[in-house]
Amino acid sequence: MTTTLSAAQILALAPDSSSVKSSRELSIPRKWKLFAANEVAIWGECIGSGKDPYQTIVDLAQTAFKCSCPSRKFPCKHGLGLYLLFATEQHSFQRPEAAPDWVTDWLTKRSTPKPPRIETSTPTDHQNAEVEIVRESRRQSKVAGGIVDLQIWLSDLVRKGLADAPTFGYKFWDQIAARMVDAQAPGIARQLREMSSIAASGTDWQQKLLDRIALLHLLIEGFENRENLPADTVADIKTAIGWTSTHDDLSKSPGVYDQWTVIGQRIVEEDRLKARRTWLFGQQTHQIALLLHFAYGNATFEYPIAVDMVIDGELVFYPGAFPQRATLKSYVLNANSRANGTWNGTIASVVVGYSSAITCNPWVERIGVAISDVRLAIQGNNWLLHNSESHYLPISSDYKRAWQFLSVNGGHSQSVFGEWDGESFWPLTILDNGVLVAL
Amino acid sequence: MNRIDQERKKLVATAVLGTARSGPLPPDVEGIFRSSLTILSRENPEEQLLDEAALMINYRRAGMVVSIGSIDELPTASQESLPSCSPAAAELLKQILDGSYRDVLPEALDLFVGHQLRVPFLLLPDLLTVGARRPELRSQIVRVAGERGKWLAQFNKSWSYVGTASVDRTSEELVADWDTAKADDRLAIIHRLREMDSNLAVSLLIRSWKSETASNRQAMLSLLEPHLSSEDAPILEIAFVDKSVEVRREAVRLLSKLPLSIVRKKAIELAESSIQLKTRIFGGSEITLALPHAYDPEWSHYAIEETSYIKDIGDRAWWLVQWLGLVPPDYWSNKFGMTPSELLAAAQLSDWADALRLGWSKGAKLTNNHQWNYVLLKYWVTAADSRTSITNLVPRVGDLGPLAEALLSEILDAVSLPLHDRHPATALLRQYTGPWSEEFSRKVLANIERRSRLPKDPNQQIWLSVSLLREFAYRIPPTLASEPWFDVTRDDDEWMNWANAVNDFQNTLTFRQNLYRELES
Repeated sequence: MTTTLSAAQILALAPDSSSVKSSRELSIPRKWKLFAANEVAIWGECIGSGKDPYQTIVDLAQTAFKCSCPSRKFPCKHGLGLYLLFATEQHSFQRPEAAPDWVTDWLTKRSTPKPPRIETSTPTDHQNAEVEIVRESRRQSKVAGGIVDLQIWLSDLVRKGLADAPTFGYKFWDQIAARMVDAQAPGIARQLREMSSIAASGTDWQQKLLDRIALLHLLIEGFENRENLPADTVADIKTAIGWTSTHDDLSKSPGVYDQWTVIGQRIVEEDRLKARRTWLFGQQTHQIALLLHFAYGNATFEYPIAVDMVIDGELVFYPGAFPQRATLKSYVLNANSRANGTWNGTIASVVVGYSSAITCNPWVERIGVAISDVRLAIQGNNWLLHNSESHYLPISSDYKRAWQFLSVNGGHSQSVFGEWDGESFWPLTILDNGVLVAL
Repeated sequence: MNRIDQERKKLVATAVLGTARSGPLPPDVEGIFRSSLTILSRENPEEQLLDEAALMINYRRAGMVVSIGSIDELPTASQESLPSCSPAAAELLKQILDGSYRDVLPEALDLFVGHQLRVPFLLLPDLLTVGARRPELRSQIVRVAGERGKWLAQFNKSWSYVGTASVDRTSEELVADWDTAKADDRLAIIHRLREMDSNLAVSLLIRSWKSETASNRQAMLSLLEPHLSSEDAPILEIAFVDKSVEVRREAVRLLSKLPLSIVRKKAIELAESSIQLKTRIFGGSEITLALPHAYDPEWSHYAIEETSYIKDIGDRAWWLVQWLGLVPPDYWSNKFGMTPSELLAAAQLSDWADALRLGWSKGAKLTNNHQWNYVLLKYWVTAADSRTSITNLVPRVGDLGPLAEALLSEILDAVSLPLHDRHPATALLRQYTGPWSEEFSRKVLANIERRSRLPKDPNQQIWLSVSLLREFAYRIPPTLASEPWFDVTRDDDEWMNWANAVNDFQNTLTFRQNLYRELES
């Protein structure tokens, strides 16, 4: 019998609640003209509204989906429905000796490394390196040009004062942000756009805005002084400015092998751009890693991954003085393993850990933290995490799942995983009697 | 304020005012950042300020210390006595709470109660919030919320009903809750106490009767109906002279159900003096009436209205309807030795036939007399009476008890055309919320399937027939989910109108089937 995710884990991969409903509806045999499986994949032909049935495949090892339906959602309801059917009625799947061509073609394509890009003339490694140096040099010049403008703009802002910031309006920030986009500094552009909402955020906005401006100033200064800084710090500066490393670039670096458990996930949306932060915990290394995925507008995330999944794989961390963000170099799903409860962080270690992170990289926005033996408490309208040493962490006032947290917690001492941004904690999962519960 | 806070305040003040107005940042006299700032040796006041602000934020963030304070610990929740449902069942319940198949919730709760399962902790907040909006589900919700649900509810005022609706709360605890409970919760207390200690519920009602609003007094009175007895007379007599006519009407209605009450006696006395049965020369019987010509002001104590609001029913006829409505119709069957059908036939010849039928209908509803309700509803359906003003007087399908399916089957069999929007069974089927028997479900589905094959008729709307299918998916036994009710491979023009509804129907039925399976496993 092939190992598989549980129904709950499969449904956790659904891009939205309507997909949960639709995929459930498709998880019955009569919706399928054919459904079959072998050791590595399952496939089926779903009776849809069109003349021809949709052809659906699920790669079990990597939890990858393929379907001929026109849906923009990923995974689509057919892929999830077929996987759910498999989770509940594995025995009724046909086991043919050979899979059809449309299945083997896709699986072969997935397992074959991508061919190198075909170019009219194949440059040598040396030529490639030269091209890269020139490209990097051009970008640095462009960013430097933008930063000169930004310095003048910041000086003007501080000279005139922040008092009128609440009346500046979005356009004020957006104009300089657009200039930064032109200068190929999208990270700075994002920070500037975020500042527009700080001025309207109510209490203590002056301090918050000054803090953000000061961090931006530090970033500019760091960029200008990059020649004298350690390579990891320069990498952090470049990341904060908006340089990105591609998966292919990172895959050339050695990674960290481990059994990685997905211990938390959070999706945030801003200006129709959805960012999904998936937190992994290495069973052997006890390292915490962050996978970032993005989807714009109605699109859904390409890579399906959900809390409580365990993957055996190699992670490569992005360069930086505080390695946290990573990418999966290679992996297979480990459906047999479960999260184990060996979290041993404390509230004090969260604070110390954050201080260490800031010391390494002042632009770190948040860190993933696993804390054991904490209780939830309510003080007025505020929620807190506290422990037997009378240490406490405030929970974000924007957090909407506190009642769910309290309900699972039951006033007991438990392990919690979440994000800490230096001011407030955002709970994502609880370890309840050894079982990860996503909040 | 420590020196860091002072320096920070100075920085913010300068930044807000602007260096143009405030001048350069005053020197860092305490020397917190002096050495760092000296290295930078800036001359530009804006850069000086930004440098120090950057140092300040990192100094604060990197030097943050853990917060220590005395936090009030929450009590811990008790051990659960009921097991949680399976993860698969929890996922189905989550779908219901998230808004898909919302109408399955009462059935799902019954299944949880029946299988003695509790709802998983993570879903409790959403479930308790549903209970805050839907009082009719509270007793079931409290039963499936387990110990954790009761524990959780104490921290959220909108879930306070959990305490009062809780089955393990003693009568002493409920009485203690009474004075501080909200109106909804006081209703729940009366409801619970009524089952535990009927007289205690009545004494509580008497105690706070005057301080309740009229609508609350009426609602509390209604709660006495299930275990009504002569021991409730003290509160009914108080309500009988209430200043609110609605409360008086409810008191009169309940008093009329007590055989020895003054209301029952008065109603029989008045009705008997008006109604006579005569034997006709050519066979059969005929009911004749002698109605009062004037409204007696004393009747207002019995909440008898002077003026009729029913179309085609005059004031005198309306008085008869109201008095008859306070008499159990079996009284007349026994008095005249006739079946309900025979009495209805005898009334047919009277000038006051309509009033007699409405009065008996009201009385049959009041006493929940299935046989009378069956005969009367059959009459009203056959008569196709379209007066909306009599809707509240005429029995509903639910009043027929086990006879409901018999009547509906008769009507379905009697009409050759399958269900459509003007079919006499359509409205009744919509009223009949079930659960439906398998046999009856098959009959209805076969009828709708026949409807789906009829060619398009411009005189008949199709949307209602199609929507019936979606409604009925919640009433049909889920054991029928696997049967092929419709030929989904059809591609005729008519099928286009039905395909989506049939799909929804099958999905709902399958969802319910899954729910039953997962909760039984």
